[in-house]
Amino acid sequence: MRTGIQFRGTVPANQTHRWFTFNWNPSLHVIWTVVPDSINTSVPEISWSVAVQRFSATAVTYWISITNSTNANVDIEARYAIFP
Amino acid sequence: MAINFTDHNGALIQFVRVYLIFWGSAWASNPPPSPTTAQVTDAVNRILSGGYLTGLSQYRGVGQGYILGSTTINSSNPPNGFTDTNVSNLIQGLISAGTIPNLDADNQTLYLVFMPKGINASNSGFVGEHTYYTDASNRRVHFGWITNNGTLSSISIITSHEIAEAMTDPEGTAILGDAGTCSGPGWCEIGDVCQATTGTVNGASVQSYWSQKDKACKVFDYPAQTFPFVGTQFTGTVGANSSHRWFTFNWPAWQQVSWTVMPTTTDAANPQLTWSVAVQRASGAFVTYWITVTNTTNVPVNFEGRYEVLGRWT
Repeated sequence: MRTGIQFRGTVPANQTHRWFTFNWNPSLHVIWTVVPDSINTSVPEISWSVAVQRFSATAVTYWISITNSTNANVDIEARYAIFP
Repeated sequence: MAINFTDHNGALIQFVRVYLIFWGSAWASNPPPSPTTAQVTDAVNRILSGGYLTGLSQYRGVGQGYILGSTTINSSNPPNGFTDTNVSNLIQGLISAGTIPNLDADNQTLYLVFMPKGINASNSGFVGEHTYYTDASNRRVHFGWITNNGTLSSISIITSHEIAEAMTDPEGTAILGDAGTCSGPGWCEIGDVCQATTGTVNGASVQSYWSQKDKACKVFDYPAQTFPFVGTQFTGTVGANSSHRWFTFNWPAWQQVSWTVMPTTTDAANPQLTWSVAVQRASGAFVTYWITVTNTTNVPVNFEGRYEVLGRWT
């Protein structure tokens, strides 16, 4: 299993922002997770969804939409995990 | 007198954004100095992303962090016998000029200034320090400086000390030794009583720091774990045609965790459950997961909330 952080960013309060990351090998099994870097002691901050684009026979683009459900900007980090 | 540390409830840096400033033309010389800026940057990255800082979670959930950026300033040189004011003036000047980023909204930024080889502080008894100044907007700017004896291990060890202390006591008001814990001047902090013990974590040389829960100086690292591993965190029931939300807390933020839901009530005709996950960083070190489960059938459904721990964050 290989893991890492693909990007960091900021999602404005009560908004959804979409990032994309490209040239991933289609043969890889990739799971995306997102974790806030901004502290919030009371409520859940973010959720996310992933869309996939087969850009070519050899390249995949992942589109990661991250929703900030709080009233303040939230810094995030998007993490990948590649099986096996 | 026994060593003992107490939380005075002041400011912490929960999840640090470190900005590296290499001060002096020597850093940009050709041939480059030893160690290079790249080598120092790599060491700091290893300190932040490895398990070294995980022991800070005992101090109100202080976590780890990352490198926000770096810059080399070769248009000026630090004076030999520099002071905190020399360093804070440099930082504020760079912020005002837009050369380096201003404080983040949560004031989790730590500016670290690395000196050229052989440049010492006015108090030559100190090889590194962290402190703060107050800017014109009345914000406290946290910074540190690190001297350079020409070895990467020394710079890395001093840096680890200053980062651990700056996160747990950036303003001299948080995790502090009780009277008699330290013999030296200044804020008595978790690195000050542990300077005799060093180690290697994630390939970086580091200094131990005081673990109040262990009553000892320790060099922390990630626990030995084989990834991935899986389990059932909770079980529950969702009423017919309704949603219910569960939360589970104190998950290490450095773990990558995926969540799935599995019905244990059988239904041979229809899909039963969907789920979504929201995440909260309750502190620098710990994450709370909020799992909303929706039952799309006309009968209650029992289920298992399952986790898959995929690996570490980096």
